[in-house]
Amino acid sequence: MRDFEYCRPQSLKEAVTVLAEKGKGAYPLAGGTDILIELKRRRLPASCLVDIKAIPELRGIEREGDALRIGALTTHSELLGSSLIQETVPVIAHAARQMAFPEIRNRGTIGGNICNAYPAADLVPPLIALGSSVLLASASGQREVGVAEFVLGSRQIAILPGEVLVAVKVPVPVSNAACAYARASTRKTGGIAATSAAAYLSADGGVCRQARIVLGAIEAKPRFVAEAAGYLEGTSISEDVAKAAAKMSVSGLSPIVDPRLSVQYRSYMTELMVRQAVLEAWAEVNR
Amino acid sequence: MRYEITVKVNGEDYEAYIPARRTLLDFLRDDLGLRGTKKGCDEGDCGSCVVLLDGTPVNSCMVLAVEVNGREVTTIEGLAKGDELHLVQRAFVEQGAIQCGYCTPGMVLAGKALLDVNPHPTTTEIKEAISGHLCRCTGYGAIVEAIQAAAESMDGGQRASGKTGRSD
Repeated sequence: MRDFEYCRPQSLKEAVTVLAEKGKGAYPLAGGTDILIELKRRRLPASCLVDIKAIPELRGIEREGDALRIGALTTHSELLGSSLIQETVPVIAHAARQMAFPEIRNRGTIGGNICNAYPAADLVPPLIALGSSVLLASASGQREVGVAEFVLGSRQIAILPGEVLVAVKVPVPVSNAACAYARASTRKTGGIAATSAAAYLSADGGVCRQARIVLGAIEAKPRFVAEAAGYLEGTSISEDVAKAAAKMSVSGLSPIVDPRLSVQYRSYMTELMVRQAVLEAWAEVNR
Repeated sequence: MRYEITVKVNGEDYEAYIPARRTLLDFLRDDLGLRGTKKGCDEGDCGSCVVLLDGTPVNSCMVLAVEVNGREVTTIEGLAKGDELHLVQRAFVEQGAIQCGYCTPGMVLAGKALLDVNPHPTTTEIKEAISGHLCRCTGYGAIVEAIQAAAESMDGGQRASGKTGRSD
């Protein structure tokens, strides 16, 4: 690693002030499980790491009306151990459990998973399917951006200089709605997602009213598959309907290159993941 | 840039003046000479550098030493009490769960951390706890059995309360 400066602000105000002062080259440091690899491989031109872990405003999981507010520093272990998450958005706990293994989950955070914007990030597809947004703070104020708009591509996010991701706002699905996430990897644990799919469905009288399908890992950026979602809406979802929607989801994809697995295999697995996520969400809705 | 830190390692306080880029792993091995913690992949994949940070297992290659200022670290050197091995260490010896030994410190600490929060783990829970640890020689069977045996001997220790010293 190249030499860099380190500071540990004690409040959000102090953090955004430091980030604004240090300018380009200053990066927030949360769990460090991604950024340290980038620094070791000399892929990140960081001159200063601003350790945000002492900032109380970035912690906690709370219910705020129809949504959950999940502090940016919430670790993957905390996500899968939270009874509030388990009761309201279990898909987030499920996605957190897919990531790496206990030691990394003890350090890695939800804010980092989003800001690192790795195509295989497991929390991103379900967060987008749920209609989540991120709360950002800077010296000039706060703003809220949808996760779908925030993640621009591989390692690219719509963050402005001097901004810190404070929390993630996740709408809690209403009683006749559910979200499911499925992913394929080369290994049961520790392997990153080769392809993944999240499905959000709502139902009324046995018929699907609203569907959102988001693909992860297969392309540089999470993709909404509107055609397949539209196909599900207004139907009573059966195995065959899910299968047809899954097939639609993979037409016209531009898969990123993954040296481990061929495009054909990943496209095929994407189809299976969509089918699985749709059927799981539908079973949950009708439970 | 260099920074001053104070950190408790295996119950002892250390003060150091270290560059921000020094990982906790390099700090433990090179500055404190605690070479029980192993350096494998150095990218958070293999688990050989796992230590306990305030009791929680973490990959020390993925933590900067400056980040642990004011905190408590336990390495493999901190488990035994004098000549008396920790139950998990003794179980590894008795079950023959060691071959080259490179993964052993991380495996033992992961096992200890698991038993601290879950004294009666299932085989699946044990496998989950060591899922971030690669072993390239013994294989995982004996390691899982050792952690299971340690859990059982903890039970035995509770039943025979007041029992001290080594069983051999």
